[in-house]
Amino acid sequence: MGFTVIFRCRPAIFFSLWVSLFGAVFATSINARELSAYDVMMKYDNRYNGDSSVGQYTMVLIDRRERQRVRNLRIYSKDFGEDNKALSLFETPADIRGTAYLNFDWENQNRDDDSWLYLPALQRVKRIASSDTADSFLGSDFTYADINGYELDWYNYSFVNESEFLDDFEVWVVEATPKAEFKDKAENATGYSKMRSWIRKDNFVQVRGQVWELKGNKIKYFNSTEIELIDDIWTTKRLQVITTRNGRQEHASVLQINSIDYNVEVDDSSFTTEYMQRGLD
Amino acid sequence: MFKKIRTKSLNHLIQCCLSTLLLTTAHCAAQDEFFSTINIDVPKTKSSNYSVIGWITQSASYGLEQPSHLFSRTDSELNGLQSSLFIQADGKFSDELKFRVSGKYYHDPIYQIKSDAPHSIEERNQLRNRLEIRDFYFDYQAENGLYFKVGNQILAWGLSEYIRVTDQINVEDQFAIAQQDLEDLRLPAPAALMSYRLKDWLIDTVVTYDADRNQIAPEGDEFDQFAQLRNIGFALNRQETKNRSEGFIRLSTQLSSGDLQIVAGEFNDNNLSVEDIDMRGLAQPSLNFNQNRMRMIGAAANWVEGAWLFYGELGTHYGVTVRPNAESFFNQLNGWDQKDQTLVVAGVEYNGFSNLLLSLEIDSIHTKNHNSFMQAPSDQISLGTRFNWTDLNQRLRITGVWNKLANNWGSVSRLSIDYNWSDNLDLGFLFVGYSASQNSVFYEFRNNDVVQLQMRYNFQI
Repeated sequence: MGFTVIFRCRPAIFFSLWVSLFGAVFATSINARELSAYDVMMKYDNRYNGDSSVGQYTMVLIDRRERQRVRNLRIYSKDFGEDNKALSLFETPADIRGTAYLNFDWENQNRDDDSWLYLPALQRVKRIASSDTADSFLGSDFTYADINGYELDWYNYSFVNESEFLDDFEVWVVEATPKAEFKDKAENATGYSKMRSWIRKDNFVQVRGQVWELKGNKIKYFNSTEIELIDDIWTTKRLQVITTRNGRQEHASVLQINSIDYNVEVDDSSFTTEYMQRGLD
Repeated sequence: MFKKIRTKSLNHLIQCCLSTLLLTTAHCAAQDEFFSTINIDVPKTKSSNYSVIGWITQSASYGLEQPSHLFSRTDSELNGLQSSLFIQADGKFSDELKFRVSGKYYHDPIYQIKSDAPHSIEERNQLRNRLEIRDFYFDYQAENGLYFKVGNQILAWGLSEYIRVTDQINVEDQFAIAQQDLEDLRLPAPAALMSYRLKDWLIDTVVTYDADRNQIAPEGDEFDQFAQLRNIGFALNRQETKNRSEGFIRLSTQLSSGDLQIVAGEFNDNNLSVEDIDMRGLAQPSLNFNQNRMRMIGAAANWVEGAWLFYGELGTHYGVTVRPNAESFFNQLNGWDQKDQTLVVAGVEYNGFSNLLLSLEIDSIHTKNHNSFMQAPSDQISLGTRFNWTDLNQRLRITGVWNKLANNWGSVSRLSIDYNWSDNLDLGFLFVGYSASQNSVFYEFRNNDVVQLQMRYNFQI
């Protein structure tokens, strides 16, 4: 689970997992001590994070020699009932400018997400098979599954720690392991064997995450900072992930929100394959 | 004895506990370290109504074999030192009205360095030094949903990677077959696109004017497709295309787990064919080439199933000119025969392995009313297979392609290795190998195997 878990929350890409409505949280925190691990994750998943959003992001990729690559992207997201559609447009660097990723996240658990990628060099919109989701999202430490989320009900949940303090905030530490009947599906979709999440008790914002990859003895560490209330929605403005292999840092990604607007008017036509090709406005 | 062992065991146990404690502490410390904030300055960008991007590329190519005497290069030697500059400017006058202008300039001084291999004037001027205007268009999104895009543009339709069934709008860069970068494969056409979404269907209509033909290598170059005819002594003339405009329509929609597009068009063949042979009283008989007018209807679809992506394309081309065999070539004084062809593409991609994409495509062309004068048989089957592997967070990309040509005419193999050193700098290696049988139209290119090193500097203003 960790920070990558978006479950069925709409993917305001990466950040849907970081946001939460303060009011809703206040009500739930009263009974926080009575919640099971599943309840915590359910409430985390059910947080209100806006019906739509438009955000400007910067993603920095850092290799083990600390060489940096910088990507700027814009992300549009909108709920369509219980379904969600999201479009990511890359603005820099020059060689990937115009690259676009469109994802439809269906509420129906039996229906795989629909995803398309537009590569300017190819000049075609290309549909992506759903099992691509465990692969890296354009060179970052995030996978497509981290972006799109996965099913809450595929996992068993248990408390690793029911009370821990991080930066003066009390958190739950919840571990998720795939249920036997969903093991193959969950592992294929995510590439993770288990996931751990640190959830703040005051607002159900996830502040840390740790995931164990199935291959290569890799563990990823997620960390969120600059958590702010924007338009009454808790928003993590800086998210980083460090991928380690055999206890050594292998690669890292930092994702920073430069600006984000919630509940803004986003035309439905923004979530079409033709819009991907029409490029940046 | 027992006590000693016990003591030893206790010591061992204590040591183990201490070790475990130390390891746990070290692990926790390491874990905390990985949770700590990375100290970097995240650069912020400012939105602008205009942007300019581009890249400067320097490549060096080495021909591994000796092409025949028909070409300028006859040794295995350095055959290219190409520099190129690509610039693209995007801008918008309003949220509805935008534009893009891009161009690419190529310069290759190899003909000056290799003065012992005399390059033709055409090679120097059409290939080794050239400026191409790429995108040059305005697009407008009207409030009523209509979308217009007018100017030089690329519109890549269809799904096939190896043959063109419904992807007929843009011509190809065939100066160096299979050696082009992906973004250089198609060349823009002057066109007007109008799109409209009607519920779940997107309707695209396109009209082109003077879209030209595939760009082929000039006289003397090792991919000169007319080298043999020139050698025989024929004068080769290109006639003016009678009908300069072309029209296309496409209906496309998304289905559950798949996409569908239906395409129709009337257009000029992007390949040249013989319109007539003039042998009347001339010292040098001439072959007059032109683009044949043809029509097409077809459909392309894909769908995903777990790790598999299946795709297919089916179409009929009406009035395709077919090349005669060697015995009949000069008997068809009134031009090549025209036939109808049915084209079928079946392809599959598999991405069940991490960072690896495998694909296989089988293509079939069936010519109706086939006759014995044709060079190709009535049924032609070819296949293409590809792997694409990335590592180091997509800094490293290795792609291999093998394309087996129809009719046992040969094959093309391509291996590229690209390394993204930084946002600004890419390094690349390319190998392309050609094999062709004697009865193949590609026979003269069989010795054009090449390796290439490339360095690309990207910039953005």
